[in-house]
Amino acid sequence: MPHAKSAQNTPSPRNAGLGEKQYLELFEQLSRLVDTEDRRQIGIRASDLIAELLDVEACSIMLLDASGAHLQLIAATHIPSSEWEKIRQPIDQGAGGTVLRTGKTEWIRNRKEFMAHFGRESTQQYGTPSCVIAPLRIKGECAGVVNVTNPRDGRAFLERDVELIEAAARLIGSALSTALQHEETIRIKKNLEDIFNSLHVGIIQVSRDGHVAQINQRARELFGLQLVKDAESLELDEVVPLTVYNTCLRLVNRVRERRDACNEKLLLTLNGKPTTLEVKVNPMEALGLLPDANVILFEDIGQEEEVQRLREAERMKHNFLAMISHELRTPLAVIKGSVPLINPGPQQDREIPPKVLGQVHQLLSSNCGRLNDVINTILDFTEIENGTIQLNFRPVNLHELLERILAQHQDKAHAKRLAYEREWDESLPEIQADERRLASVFSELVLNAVKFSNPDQAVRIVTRRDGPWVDIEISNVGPPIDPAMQKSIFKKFFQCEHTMTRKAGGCGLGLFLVYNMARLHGGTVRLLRSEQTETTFQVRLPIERFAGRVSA
Amino acid sequence: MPKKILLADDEEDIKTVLKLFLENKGYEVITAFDGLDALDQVKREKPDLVLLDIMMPLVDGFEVCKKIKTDPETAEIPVIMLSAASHAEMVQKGIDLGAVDYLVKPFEPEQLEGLLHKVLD
Repeated sequence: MPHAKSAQNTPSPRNAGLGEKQYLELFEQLSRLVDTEDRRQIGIRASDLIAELLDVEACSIMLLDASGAHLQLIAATHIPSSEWEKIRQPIDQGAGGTVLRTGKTEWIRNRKEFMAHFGRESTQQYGTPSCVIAPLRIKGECAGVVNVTNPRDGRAFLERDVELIEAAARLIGSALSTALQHEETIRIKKNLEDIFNSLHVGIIQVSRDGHVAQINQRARELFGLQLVKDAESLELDEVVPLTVYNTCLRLVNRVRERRDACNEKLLLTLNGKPTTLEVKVNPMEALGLLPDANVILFEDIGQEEEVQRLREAERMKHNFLAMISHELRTPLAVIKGSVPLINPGPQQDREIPPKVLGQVHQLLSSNCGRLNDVINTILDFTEIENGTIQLNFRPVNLHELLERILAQHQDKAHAKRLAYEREWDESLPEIQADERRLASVFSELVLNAVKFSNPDQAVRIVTRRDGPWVDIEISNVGPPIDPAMQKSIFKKFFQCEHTMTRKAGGCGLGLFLVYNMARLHGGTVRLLRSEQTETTFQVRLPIERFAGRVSA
Repeated sequence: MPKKILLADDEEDIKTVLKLFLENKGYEVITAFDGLDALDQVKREKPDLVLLDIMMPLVDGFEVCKKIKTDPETAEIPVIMLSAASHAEMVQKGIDLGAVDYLVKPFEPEQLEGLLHKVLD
């Protein structure tokens, strides 16, 4: 026990209290307790230090319990530690209770004083009369007591001893404050973690270098990471599937540009079942966090409607890719097939008949043109979708342009024995337009007219000036467009059902582009009528350059 | 007697280029421009082999193949599918319907030639 040691080292003179050295050592040692995070440890160390360095028979520390109705012993030099937990005292009883209530130190110098103070004999184990009970303050509030009993030399506590004990109690109080604050911090952190983990929304916090800083339970479930212990040390792309990762990157960049929350929904298979996942990125500055760190939210939205909508979009995308690849492969097949036809042979001695050469030349030139058209279609589509399309306005002779397009599709019309009927308004001036884009509009409409025409009929093209406008009508005789579908024909990826046989709009972008190109020119396109006798599309364009802005 | 091949495709240029190639190799080539036309000519002309595109107007290539294979009169005529669609299930569907092979466009003409030798000789 510490008592023996201090008795050897510091033989205190009778009635003179302790020397400066012990005081200084006590304060220095107690000050160190401020760094201790465990309340219990502070109590044990402090009571031992006081008992040893003040050379007293006992020192104990009691703290208010959680209910605030009892003082609970947390450390005592004269009681075995196994008993501490059992010792508690109602605050309306005993000397400790008095000190707690009044906030004033009790200083008892003899048995008589004890009787006077408490109206009974001391219950102290040592039965000696001198004790000091000082209040312990935590954050300014009286929250416990330090009880120091009986100097070993048999004297009573002096006034300076009382001051010393009060000062020690203040130090212990501040050490306990710090410890409590630490416990509170841990508790809040634990609470936040519990909330973080119980949320139905998956949350991943990503540091600026792309590492996962925090990941909650829901996100672990979503991405099947329950068993991965240290997901926090991984990169984002190791934690989420590639499609999700790409979406996250896109959203993070968008948030950086717009400084506003962005979200995207995607359909994918998670844990073996189809899931609609909403991915949301919030700008961190708004949340008072680092601008380069990102919190990404993931929500599994089960709404049937949304799932349907996304499935439909997914299906359209799939069809689009299939049709695009068909549109690219067909001309490529012709080009590939042409190569052996003009192969002069290993000895360069094969005669290629001029007729074959002529045919191959025609095949190559028209199919290279077709490939080019498909690529332009994809580029135009992308630019319309991104809102980056720019038209090149030049004076365009509409009739010359139409003649060129009719000639391009002459072969196909010829195969069905179709005649072209022209009704030109000869008063038409040149119009301001993007010639290539306008050509694609009429090419699409003429091609459709030829495709859906009954054999042995006429495809009719009419131009008509109407004040500042010019109307171009393209008609064919053939099966009418299903009235139920007429509304959707200008939508992207629209295809008549059963694409195997109808092969309607190439990649399903034809009329979508026609519609948008007409609008970008400041004009319109509409299905004028579609009946048994005739289907007519009308394009209306301004003659002068359209000055306003049209959003696609 | 040169072997007679029916080439059914609605793409004019594909027909032109394959016709030139096959005629150059000594085959007789007749063409059809849609599924109905193809079925018609199979019955009438009894070709030695049919080259069948899948995406054709009116009746698609799968349907044409099925009809050829279920009609005892034409069931013995070998069919080769030609398509720009390359999904495994499409290829499998063609084979399941009785096609001897399935060529994905764009293919090497020599590939077709080799296949014709294998089937016809």
